[in-house]
Amino acid sequence: MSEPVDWDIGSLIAIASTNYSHYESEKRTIVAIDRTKPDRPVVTLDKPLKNKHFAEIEYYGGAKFDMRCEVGLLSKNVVYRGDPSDSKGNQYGATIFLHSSGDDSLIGRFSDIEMTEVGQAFKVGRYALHFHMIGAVHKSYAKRVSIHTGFNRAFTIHGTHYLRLIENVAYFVKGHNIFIEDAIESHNFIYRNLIISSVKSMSLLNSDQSPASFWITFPENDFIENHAAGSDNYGFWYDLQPHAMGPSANEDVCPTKNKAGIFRDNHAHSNGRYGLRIFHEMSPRVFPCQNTSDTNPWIETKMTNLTAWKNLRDGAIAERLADVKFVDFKIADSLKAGIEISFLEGGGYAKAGIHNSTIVLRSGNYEGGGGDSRGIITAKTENFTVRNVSFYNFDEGESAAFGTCTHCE
Amino acid sequence: MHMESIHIPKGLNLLIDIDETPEINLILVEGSLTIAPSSDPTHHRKIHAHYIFVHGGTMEVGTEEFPYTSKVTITMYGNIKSPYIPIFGNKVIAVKGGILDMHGVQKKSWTVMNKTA
Repeated sequence: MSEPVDWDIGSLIAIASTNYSHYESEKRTIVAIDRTKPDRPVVTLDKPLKNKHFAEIEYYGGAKFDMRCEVGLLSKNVVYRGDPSDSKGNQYGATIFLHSSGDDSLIGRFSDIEMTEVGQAFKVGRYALHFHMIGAVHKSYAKRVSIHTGFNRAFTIHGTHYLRLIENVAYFVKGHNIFIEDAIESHNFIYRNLIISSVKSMSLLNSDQSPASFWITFPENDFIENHAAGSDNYGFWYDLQPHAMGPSANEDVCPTKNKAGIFRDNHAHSNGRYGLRIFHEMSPRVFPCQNTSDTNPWIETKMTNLTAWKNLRDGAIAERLADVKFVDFKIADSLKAGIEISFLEGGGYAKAGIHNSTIVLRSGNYEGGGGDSRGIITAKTENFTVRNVSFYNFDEGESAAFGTCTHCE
Repeated sequence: MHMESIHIPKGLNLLIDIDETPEINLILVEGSLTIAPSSDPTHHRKIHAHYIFVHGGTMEVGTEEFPYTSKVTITMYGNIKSPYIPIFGNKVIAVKGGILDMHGVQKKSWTVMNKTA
């Protein structure tokens, strides 16, 4: 490991995939830890790993690509679980459900606990850890909670603001994992969470059939240093809605046009489609529910330092952006494209673009499987900006740094 | 199967310090429920219940300041046909008002490998 670990013999750990298929993630038990070099402990497992797990930092120009395999601790001394005799067979586990109406009307504080065989398939609202229609929860948090073998989402933020989710780990949970539900939730702080192997749920809503490790329906929430380490479909999906919906339905809330929170220093790899997906639109402006004008300008929004590698199609894709810039992105080993953006708002005055980024066609982790990949596929509209972007190793087959007119075919 | 339920009214505290509970139907917490660690770190306490409903009360399985230091497993029972607490459902710790604290021993939750394996 890359740093000291205080893990116990007998603990379960999850090891992320570092390939295109997230099903190369693995679960093992620790049988020994050699701490001869305390800063580089060597963990011995109960049986050998089946798959290769890549762990290197590579530099391309000045850009640091940290592609070291993540390892999450699943075992904790406090365990909350569904009855093991039937939970898995019925896909019907235990839940923790917090609900009372009103800001700070309850407190839920969770740290260093393990939740397994949790969530109830086929039941909307029956999620592993569910903060439901509360309002602000300034005192509540989940830190270093592990959720594994989950049947219906992991951490649900519904009609809830100011929740802190910090350093949590999820492994093999069905549906969206960190889930912002009604497109009204704001000021939630999502920091250093590790989500390994989010899998499709065929027993929930349509969108859970294409799961995202982080499903974000309202932009004014902060996502910092999270790792979306493998999903059937998406790592981070900004599925911004035209209006708040569900029990929070409100025509005066306009998520696609609302100002965004922080998105920086996140990682996304081994996702079946895209590391980061913005679909359909992100076009923040001062008064979100009004048309832009001289007195209602766009808000410049920077999404910074995403590291995305070995995502089966793209590192990052967006359908429609106003003044949203991808800055310091590091993308490697995408099979279709590093980045695609379809439409820019503003015609000849459009401001969206890709800045100071590095796109690597094939890194040291690449072992074949690609064809005619592109670095960037340009938009269907005018004034698409690509500034100070470097491309490396684009010499394979028919590959090229640029393709044109995304989704025009 | 006949199962008992427990009501902890406001003003009362129930301390669970037995090794293993029977399968309890409902624990209704209007006062406070404390599941206490053992001084023996290898001790493993086992709690079995169908519903735990924190209704304006407090439930503690460790606190921020004093996390649970031995081992505890809370196992929840029920299936899709079991009766529902309105809104909250079944096989659930439900919290309506009040405080739920669950805290284990702090460990590094994840890291990255140093070398390809």
